[in-house]
Amino acid sequence: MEGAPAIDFDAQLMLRVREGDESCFHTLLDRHRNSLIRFLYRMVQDSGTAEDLAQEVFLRIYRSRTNYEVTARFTTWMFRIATHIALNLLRDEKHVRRQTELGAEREVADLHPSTEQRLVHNVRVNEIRTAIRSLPAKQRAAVLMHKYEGMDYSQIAGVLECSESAVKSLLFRAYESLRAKLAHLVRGEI
Amino acid sequence: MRDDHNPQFETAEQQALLRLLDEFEAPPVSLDFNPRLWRAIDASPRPSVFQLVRTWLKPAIPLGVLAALLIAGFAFDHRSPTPSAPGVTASEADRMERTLDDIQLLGQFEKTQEGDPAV
Repeated sequence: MEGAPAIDFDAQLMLRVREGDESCFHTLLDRHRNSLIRFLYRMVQDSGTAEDLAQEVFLRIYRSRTNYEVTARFTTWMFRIATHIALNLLRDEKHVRRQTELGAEREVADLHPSTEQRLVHNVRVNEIRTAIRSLPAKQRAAVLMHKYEGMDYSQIAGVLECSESAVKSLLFRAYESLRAKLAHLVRGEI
Repeated sequence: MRDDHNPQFETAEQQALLRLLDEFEAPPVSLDFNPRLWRAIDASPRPSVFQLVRTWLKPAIPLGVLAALLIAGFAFDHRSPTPSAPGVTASEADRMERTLDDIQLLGQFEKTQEGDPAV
């Protein structure tokens, strides 16, 4: 966890949002929208759902502006909200149906380039998506924050509200699992 | 790609895995994402005046409590002495005391008279 953090630039912006400066919320949105949606997309693996969840995250941030206190880095707080929302969704089986339907749509759309290279790439990406989807939700969140969002152990621990050693353990198990599931592709990369 | 100088990421196989994961890209964000968010924000309830006032006053609450304690302490320390009975001045009280003394003296004198028939 983060103890007595210095107030980062994003937290300063959020404090100004609390004081009523809405333009700072626009700035926060511009700074973090893409990374948040990318993270949520890789978590739930559906772009529509990811954007809906990101809307919910930003709405919650906006609504809680009047009570905002700096207790951690802004991004830690934002990803904590996002992870809670995503984990709740993944616990709910309703998303599975929609994900399957949209996944089928996406495959049809991706066939358009019709080159062999593109097909091979699509197959590889689908295998990676499946391997990531097969990870337990918390391991998945840890890997996505570590690999794609460049967060360090301490920040991931702050988001997942656990110790750094627990994060290391989650990451170790997740990467081992991915390496086993994608072994045939990994060997081709070496 | 992160490298925390952890042996976990040092083997070629692990580096290959991390490179492979780069292929999983996210699609671009919809153009209507921001307008949709602003619509949702506009539709959400605004904080009440009470909430806003509470937010503004929140930092002043400890100072207010401290000031109240200081005022109470000052008032306790500088409280006025016990006042005399209302409406009675010091000279009136002296006069009353003398009158009571006179009455007592007179009473003693009367008793002495009753006990001595020669007087």
